[in-house]
Amino acid sequence: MDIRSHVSMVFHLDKCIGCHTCTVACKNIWTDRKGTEYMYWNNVETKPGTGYPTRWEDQEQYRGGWVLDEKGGKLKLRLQGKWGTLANIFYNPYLPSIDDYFEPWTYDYQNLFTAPEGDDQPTARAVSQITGRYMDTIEAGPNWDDDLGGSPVYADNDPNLDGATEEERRQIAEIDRTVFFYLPRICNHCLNPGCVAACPAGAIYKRAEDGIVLISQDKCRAWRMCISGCPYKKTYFNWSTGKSEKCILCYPRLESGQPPACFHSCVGRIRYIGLVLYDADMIQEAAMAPSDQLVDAQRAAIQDPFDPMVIAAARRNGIPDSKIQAAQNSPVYKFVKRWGLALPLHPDFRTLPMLFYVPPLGPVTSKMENGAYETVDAGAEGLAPMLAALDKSRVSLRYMASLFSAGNEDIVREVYYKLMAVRIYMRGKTVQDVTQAEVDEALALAGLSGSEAEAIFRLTSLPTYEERFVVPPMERETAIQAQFPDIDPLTRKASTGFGFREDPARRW
Amino acid sequence: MHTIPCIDSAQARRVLGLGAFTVVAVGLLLILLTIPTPVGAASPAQGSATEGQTIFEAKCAGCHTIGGGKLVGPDLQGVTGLRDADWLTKWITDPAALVASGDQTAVDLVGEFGTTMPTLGLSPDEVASLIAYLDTTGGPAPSGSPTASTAPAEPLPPGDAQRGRELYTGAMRFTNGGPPCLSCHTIAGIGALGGGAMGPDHTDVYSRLGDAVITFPQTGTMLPIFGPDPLTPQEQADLLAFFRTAPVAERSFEAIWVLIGLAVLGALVLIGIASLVWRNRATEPVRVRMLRGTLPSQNHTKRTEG
Ligand code: SF4
Ligand code: SF4
Repeated sequence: MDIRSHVSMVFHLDKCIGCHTCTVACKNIWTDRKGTEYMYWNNVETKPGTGYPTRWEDQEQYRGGWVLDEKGGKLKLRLQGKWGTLANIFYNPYLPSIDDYFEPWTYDYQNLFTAPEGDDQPTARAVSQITGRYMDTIEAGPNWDDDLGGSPVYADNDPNLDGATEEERRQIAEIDRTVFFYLPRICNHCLNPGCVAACPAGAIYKRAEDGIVLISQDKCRAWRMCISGCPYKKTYFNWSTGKSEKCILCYPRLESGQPPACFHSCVGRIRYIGLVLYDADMIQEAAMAPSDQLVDAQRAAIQDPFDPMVIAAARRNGIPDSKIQAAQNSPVYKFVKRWGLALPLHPDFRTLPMLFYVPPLGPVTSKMENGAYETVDAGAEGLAPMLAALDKSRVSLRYMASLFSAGNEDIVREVYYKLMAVRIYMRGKTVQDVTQAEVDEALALAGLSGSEAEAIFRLTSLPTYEERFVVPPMERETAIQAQFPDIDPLTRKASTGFGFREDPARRW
Repeated sequence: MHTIPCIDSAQARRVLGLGAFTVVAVGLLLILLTIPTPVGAASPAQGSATEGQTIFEAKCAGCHTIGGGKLVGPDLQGVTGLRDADWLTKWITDPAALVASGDQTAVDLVGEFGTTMPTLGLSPDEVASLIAYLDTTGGPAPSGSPTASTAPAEPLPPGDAQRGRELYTGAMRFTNGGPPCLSCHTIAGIGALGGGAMGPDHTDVYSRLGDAVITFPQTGTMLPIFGPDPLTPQEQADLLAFFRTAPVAERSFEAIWVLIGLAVLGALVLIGIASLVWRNRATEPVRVRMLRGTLPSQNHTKRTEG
């Protein structure tokens, strides 16, 4: 047992209102520099949709993540092995192009003041932030298909619909029945990161004490293999500095006790952050589990912070008690392990992402009826209609399973039973139009107790700031000393955080 | 479609891919065809005749005699009477510069001997010593004798042109370990690729210098290379035989056309290999293909019928 600590995250999708505040917060702090205009370390996608960059989930095109070699029983990068890296070192053929992200632009506002007098109002034309030329047609943006806008092409080409029936496809496009939800994405700070494995320069590393995945701006040599290697397309190439960059989970904020900016600013309060303890010895096993057991294997790797054996093993590895305590208070542990509500995004990529999502219930159970938006009424005819709604839902369970459980519909179904049980339980308490028998039936089906349902309700709907963000004491100095006993942590005080202490020699 | 240097649009990448190979092929071709010639440089005072003699023997005797007649360069007996010391200093210090300055004597000398004297890299003091030594040798300047008439002091053993050729190209090593001539020089008759471009072309060297050619290695450039690893008399004889027999004619330009042909062919082969190895590369952005409906996943027959 090799217990380590990991700063991990949960996004509760039912609460996301798609406001992009998180995106703007991140953009303003980290990617408003030259060369980063097109980057969105945090972005919010509309699902069904093709996302950013276009069809990032389509690994046939982008070759991200890992595949299980059936014969050898080995885990291989889908991109390439050592020899492939060598053969393609100057020419990585599977990069998304700027057209797959979008060409960033600003506006020629100056023209509004300096235009000569004329018959028409002056306008501020769009100017490319890459070429500096006017852009007459803007063909894509970071959230081009926001709220299913644009054209049906985008929703229809969601890779998660690849196995969908014609009926399911028609449903999504049908007016009045159309349905969507939001999927905010940041780097998942994976346990088995594809980006790290793909980098030929060894520039990407995962901090042992908190699991944050970072790219060394000194060591990066611009091979851009991480961009292909990450199946979530969450590393980006800065064309100005010639280095790759990615979400750093706002570690400077974490180290001063604040949650990351996107968490802090989240309007829907959908985001939770906390420490989990995991067993590093189980990573390989979890990454190589058969597809339908991937979620369970990853859950198994996350350990109970109350278990005395786990605590002892954590202490042996130099994890301070303050962190063990933080892990015990972690909302992430509750959502992921204790309640089993939060699922990893695309576990089929086998990177063991450490950002978990509570799948949205709204699009599954709500519908338009008599011109009004309704959720299925549980009270009217017992539980039957509500449970039946699961299989008749407009975003099919298969779709959700493709996103959150590598195709295992049973796992998603269990989560939905729990989410619905909590609603029925609370309805029984507040509206009181459900009988106690029905409440008990729902809880039994979900395998929840009344107090658990209460706790889930509380952490979902009424959590305080301190309950959502249990930022552990980062104790960098302890971590540095545990790893390098000879180094005085204070010598690291002035070392580079993000960016350059010296400008890179080569810069556009 | 727009491209930026970092994440080029796929099309630009394909063009770049082809471009890279063309550049490599053309570059190779240029390297093969370009024959640059290096130029040296030096600086100008006082000196002793004995020191001058040592310098003469080490650096000048390869091409000049004192009272022995013309070799590669003129007989230097009485040269201090012929030219003033100032001119001599300039000439010895940097012959090329003097020629370039349009000095009539210098230009005439080059015309007569077909080559400029190499820059010897002597210090002003050494130049002065050398002139002092030349001054002591006195006597009237001898009248010129035909180049071919002069032979090396010691008679060489009979040489074998074939062995000479092998020594020249490096197929056979020099006994004392000197580098093969080919590494710096080229000569007609050793194959289409020719040799190095550092030193002069040897094609017409025998007709220019006659038997004296084999003492040529004692110039300023050659001395540091062959001084420690001298040629044996047999090797000198073999090389001389090779110089005498092989390169009578100029190098034919057909060889160059063959080279160009080979280079083009090589480039085509490389491009072929590249397009085979990287045949899976993305040639167009995914978004563009998606909007056009040509992604593999958009093949509707693949879908389950509802
Ligand atoms: S999501 Fe983050 S940690 Fe995971 S592979 Fe991508 S960049 Fe690496
Ligand atoms: S700020 Fe929160 S609610 Fe708004 S889009 Fe981002 S994750 Fe969703």
